[in-house]
Amino acid sequence: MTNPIRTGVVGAGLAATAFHVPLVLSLPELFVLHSVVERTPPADRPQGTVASKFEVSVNLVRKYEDLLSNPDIELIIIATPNATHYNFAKAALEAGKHVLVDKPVTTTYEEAKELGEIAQRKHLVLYAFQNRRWDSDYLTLRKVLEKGTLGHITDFVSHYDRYRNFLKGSWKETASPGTGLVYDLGTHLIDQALHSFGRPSKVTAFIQNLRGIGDDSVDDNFTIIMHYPRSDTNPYLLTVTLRAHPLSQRTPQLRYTIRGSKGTFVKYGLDVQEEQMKEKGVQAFGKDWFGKESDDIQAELEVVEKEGDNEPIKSRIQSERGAYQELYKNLAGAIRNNSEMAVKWSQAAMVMLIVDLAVQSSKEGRTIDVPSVQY
Amino acid sequence: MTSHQPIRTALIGLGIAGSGFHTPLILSLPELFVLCFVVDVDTSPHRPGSANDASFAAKFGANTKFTSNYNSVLADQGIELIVIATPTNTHFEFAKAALGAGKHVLLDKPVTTTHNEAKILGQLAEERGRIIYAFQNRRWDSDFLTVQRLIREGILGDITDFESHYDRYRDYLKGTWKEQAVPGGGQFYSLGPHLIDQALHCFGRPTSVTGFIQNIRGTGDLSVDDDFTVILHYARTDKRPTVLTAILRGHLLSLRKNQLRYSIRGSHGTFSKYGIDPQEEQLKQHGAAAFALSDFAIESPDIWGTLETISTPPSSSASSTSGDDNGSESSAQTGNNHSSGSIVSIPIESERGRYQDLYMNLFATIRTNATPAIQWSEAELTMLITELAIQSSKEGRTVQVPPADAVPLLKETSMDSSSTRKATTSPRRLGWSLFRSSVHRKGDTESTRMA
Repeated sequence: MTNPIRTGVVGAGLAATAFHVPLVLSLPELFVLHSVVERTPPADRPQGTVASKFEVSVNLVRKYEDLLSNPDIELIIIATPNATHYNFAKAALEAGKHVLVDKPVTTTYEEAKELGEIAQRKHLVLYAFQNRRWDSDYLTLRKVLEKGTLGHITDFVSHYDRYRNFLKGSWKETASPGTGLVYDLGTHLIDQALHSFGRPSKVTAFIQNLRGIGDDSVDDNFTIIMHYPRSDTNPYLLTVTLRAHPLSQRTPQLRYTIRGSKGTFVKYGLDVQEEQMKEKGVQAFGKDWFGKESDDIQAELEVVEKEGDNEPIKSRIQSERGAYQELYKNLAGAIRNNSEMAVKWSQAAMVMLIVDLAVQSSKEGRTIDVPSVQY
Repeated sequence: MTSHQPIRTALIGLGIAGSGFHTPLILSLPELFVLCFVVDVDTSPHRPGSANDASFAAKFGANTKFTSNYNSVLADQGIELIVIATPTNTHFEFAKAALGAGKHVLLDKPVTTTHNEAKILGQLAEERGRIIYAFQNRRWDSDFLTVQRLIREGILGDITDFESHYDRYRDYLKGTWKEQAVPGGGQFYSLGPHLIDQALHCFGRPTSVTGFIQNIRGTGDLSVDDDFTVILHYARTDKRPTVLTAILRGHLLSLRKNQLRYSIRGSHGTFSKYGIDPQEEQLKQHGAAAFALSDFAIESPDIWGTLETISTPPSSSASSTSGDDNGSESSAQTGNNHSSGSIVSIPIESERGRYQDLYMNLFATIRTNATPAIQWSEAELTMLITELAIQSSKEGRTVQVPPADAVPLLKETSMDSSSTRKATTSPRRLGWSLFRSSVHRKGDTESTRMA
């Protein structure tokens, strides 16, 4: 007997329509899309953007408070502009709802910490939408790291580069809290690195507006370096470098260059799920091509059998299948069965801590020590 | 040039630089140079080139004499040029003595261990009316010549991101002086000056520097670095409408058959290159006979670089390839958002490397007062940036680069003569304010920077 989780989505922009709504609709045994909050539906679509785009019947709610006060709603998905995440999430938790919040979960560490404490106190699931843990490339990389194929990692470089010499004119490019590339793309890269290597001891960042277009205070380029000391598990120093370049004429773009004491892992390209979901919506799921990337962008490995060998052997690795639905399945399990959350809120809060420190480092022109935090 | 007499030369230092580079180069240009003496003060039995073996004449020429007495060479009026290829922490003293004796000097890199020492040598050379020339041979590496051509011809447009690497894999200690905690020791002093010199030559004086210089392997003396990342930050200027970041990297635990050498992004394209210039290996294997090889300094096509560029100019309109995706991440990433043109990938044949050009230019500079391809002020700037990178790494902060006219020559102190690595010309200690772009940019005349 299924008991799908009655879900409300706040926001009807890209995050909602490209990601959350299709994912919810694709798992009808786990979720039912009950309501959508859209303050101002388009004039030609009075039933709301979501209902019209996905041809589903769903309650259109104009005011968030009405969603919060509806006792039928169990889970609220927050897919609104970054600066509003904290307020919406807090209100949802205080109304006794479980919450899935898109990244960046807040705009500061303190906000994230506060939300986590509320959720803990009220025994609610508070889940960060770090979907790129289930990107093909990251899943492929995780397998390699878990096997120890590369030995001890000394240099981990992760890129989100693109070529865009104009502004798209969205809220993301105007100067307000939580805008800019560090909050938009940096949070993904930071989350993956923290997930793989834990908390760094120091952060250095260079965050700037490279193209010189639009608001100069909104960054379109970053380099964030996370420094890791020697440890029981790694006798070498590790440097993690996260980069995003907005004027990179390459195809496919470089994604990872990872070097360890026994080998090197290089990958180009980008996970296909987002494009597939945008194109096919709910129809994308369950297809044998969903989440499958082209062989052209398979990762390349150069490894030696044992440390000390000098002649690496090249090979290519079959890409793992991308699997965004796994996040949602894990979310459902956490809500219904108290299963362990794959994305822990403390990890999401740590991402915001690193973002805070990166912004500070860039402003002050110095490397910042990462405090050990309770949360 | 043939109407001029060859320059009578003495070489001091017979390690890898002396025996591997300078000797074959000098011997390959008999119309320009005569190798009169080789000087080796190191009496270790393991050193190559000790005069006692029979192969000496084969290696250094039948007419070359060996001596361990540097002063006698300096006193010899017939000797015009001293080539200094000894360990870095001896460069300053040997060069000072040579200039003091009225000789021209070719000084291996890094020229000194401090910026101030480099300035002292420059001033001494000027006072004596002698040439002092920095052996930045990698200006004539195939890969760098290729990069220079692409930048100079505007093929890459305005450069925004310049990554330059010397990576390799070594998990053991070689047991050389470079691994000891002496001034000039460590991987950064060994490889950094090449990368720094090349970047400065392309882009001029940076606004600020960030350095991460560390011992990552945890072997040997932990105070001796084996890994470095030096970032040169260039602010927007009238000539350069976007910011530029140059990342210079030397990683010693990199397992790759063909190491990444350059990844350069500009407004018109991206250039990626792997592998290493073949001249060093060819010289190692063949000595002076290397120059006669038909494939000398020619890179094999499997390490030619790749240019990626949009085949038609990008539109400046906001149209995107996928409908109403407002601020999407994916069109951010799969795209290459432009409404026309797609990215093409073009192999770029490597320029032929030409280490001999350095020596030929040195000859022309000495004999005919030709303009040196490497200005001594560029070598001074390289040492300044080297010091600032070390300071940045030590202090955990980005360090501003003072303007060209702002760093005065400090009279020699006992610290200088012992060649410590301390940044004696720390901008903070001198109390300099931040670089202001409105100040007349003397830096423009310092380097033969491309437009």
